Amino acid sequence: MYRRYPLLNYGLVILLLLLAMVSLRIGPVSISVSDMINALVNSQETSQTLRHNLILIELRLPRLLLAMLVGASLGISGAALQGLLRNPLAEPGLIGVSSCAGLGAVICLYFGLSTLSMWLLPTMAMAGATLATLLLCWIGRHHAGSLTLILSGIALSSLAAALTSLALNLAPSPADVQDMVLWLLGSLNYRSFNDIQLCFPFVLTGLVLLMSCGAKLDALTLGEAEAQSLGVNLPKLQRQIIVGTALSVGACVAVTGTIGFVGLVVPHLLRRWVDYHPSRLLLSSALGGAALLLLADIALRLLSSTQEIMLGVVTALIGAPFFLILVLQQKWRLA
Amino acid sequence: MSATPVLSADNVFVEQQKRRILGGISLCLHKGELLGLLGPNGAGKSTFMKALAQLLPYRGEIRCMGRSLQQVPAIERARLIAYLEQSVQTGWPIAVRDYVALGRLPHRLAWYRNGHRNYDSKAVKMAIEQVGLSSLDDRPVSELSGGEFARVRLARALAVQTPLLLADEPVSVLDPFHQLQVMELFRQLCRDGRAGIVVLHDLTLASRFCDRLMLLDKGRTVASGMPRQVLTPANLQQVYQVQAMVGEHQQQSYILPWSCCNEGSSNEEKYR
Repeated sequence: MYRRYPLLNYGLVILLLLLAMVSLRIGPVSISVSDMINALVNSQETSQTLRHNLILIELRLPRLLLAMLVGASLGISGAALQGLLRNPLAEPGLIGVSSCAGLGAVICLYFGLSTLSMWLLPTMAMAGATLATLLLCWIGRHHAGSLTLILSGIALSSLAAALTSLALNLAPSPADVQDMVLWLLGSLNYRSFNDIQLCFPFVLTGLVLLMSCGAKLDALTLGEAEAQSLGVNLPKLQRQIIVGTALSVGACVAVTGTIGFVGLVVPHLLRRWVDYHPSRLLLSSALGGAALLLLADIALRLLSSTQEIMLGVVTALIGAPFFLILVLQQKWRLA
Repeated sequence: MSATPVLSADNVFVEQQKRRILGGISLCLHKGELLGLLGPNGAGKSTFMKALAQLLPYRGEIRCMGRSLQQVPAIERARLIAYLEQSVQTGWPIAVRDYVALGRLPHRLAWYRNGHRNYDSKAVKMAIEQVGLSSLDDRPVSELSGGEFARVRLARALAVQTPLLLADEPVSVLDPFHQLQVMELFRQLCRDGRAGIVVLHDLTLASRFCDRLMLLDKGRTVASGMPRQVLTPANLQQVYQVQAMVGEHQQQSYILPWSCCNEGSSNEEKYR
């Protein structure tokens, strides 16, 4: 049982590579591994390699990389928030970051600003996430405990959901409503390297901030007072995790829309395999989140025929029953 | 006793929501001393311990090893004072050995140094042996009994290896055997060169194992000094509202709280 977590990480990396390979292969045009290498290395040789190169570079590779970035962000944010709040039900959606980012995007669609510039929608979504973060940091600065932070996040999330509903309710036209709803459901379709370029610096900064708080999260296992007596600056740690989550998840939501359950299910699924250490869970959840989202994306591409199934719907369909089973299993084990 | 006290507190005031919790408490603790902090519920014992551990804002000055604690960075402070909270729920069910190892966090400045790691594991092993739980070091903390978990928490505090140990009611959930074992351990640790403050409700344990006692009531010091000077019938009646039986066995005092002072009145009147 002891020291099995490095093996878990190696296993997750291998799984991720295999899923990446499958993700690049499947689609209306099936590309074999040798064709894939040929298309990426000698793209100008024949019209077929040129076509394969275009499909890979313009469509499948951005989709693959974005799935991995979003999955990793959601997974690691969920693990960090669960460690900080010492609550296995915490996830990025809980603290209101995802819903405030969603609200920012909906406001942009409501006023038709997204037609002015392609950058405006993600920028507004990130502004929503930033606003939520500033508010939570302000609450955290006043030495608020974990429970206050959770409840504030829930209140913020509910407010953002209510305002989003209001925007849908008062939408100028049915087409606008459809735009907003489709965006809120979350998708990786038709995303390009421009989207990755937009979110990558924020995601990377967020991931670095979250990865560097492992030892302090371990100390929180002892309770807030004893962790502080070990030199953990609790308000600073809260800020670091909130800002890290807002940057990584906010930037991802800004380009893909809201995708739920990954941040909740992945840490829960992997916790036993890292011997319940919050620090070890961070990297494993990032890898696991990337793998799960890639798997969900592959599943929806295989299932979609004429009408696209949205990624947020697939993750919720896989995640929610799975999470319920995990919770019930735990309950039975305790009984 | 060395010239510089391990801990000195001068006129410590704590106010919470405009209510005075501590009203000017002072103390001086030298190397090798074990101080028992006594008082009824709500006397301010835990608040004083938290102020000493720098976990809440206070007025006045607290110095450890001659340094004003408000000037010392948190990570350095963590290497001076180990603090054990009154009660804490088990968080994630990590193994006993890993739980105790969390006490080494303040020393892990350079986590990549192998020498540090080796010493950390030695310190953890020693702390687990000191509380007599070597056989359980692989077990998840969630599967321990209340008494075993209390000892694991103590081992975590010991693993920090600080000159000062603050423990808030460390024996309140232990059976008599382990109460005596843990108090003996505190006394031994102090004899080996540390200093400690323990909050206790058991007056006999306080009298037998502590070098000095401090009796608090309503945020103020009522009495301070040798156990015999502090645990007098008059003090116990004034602070705890109880009459106690004081006796002697093997030249050591034992104190048994025997009856409430307002025994003549009915319970309803007493709690009204």
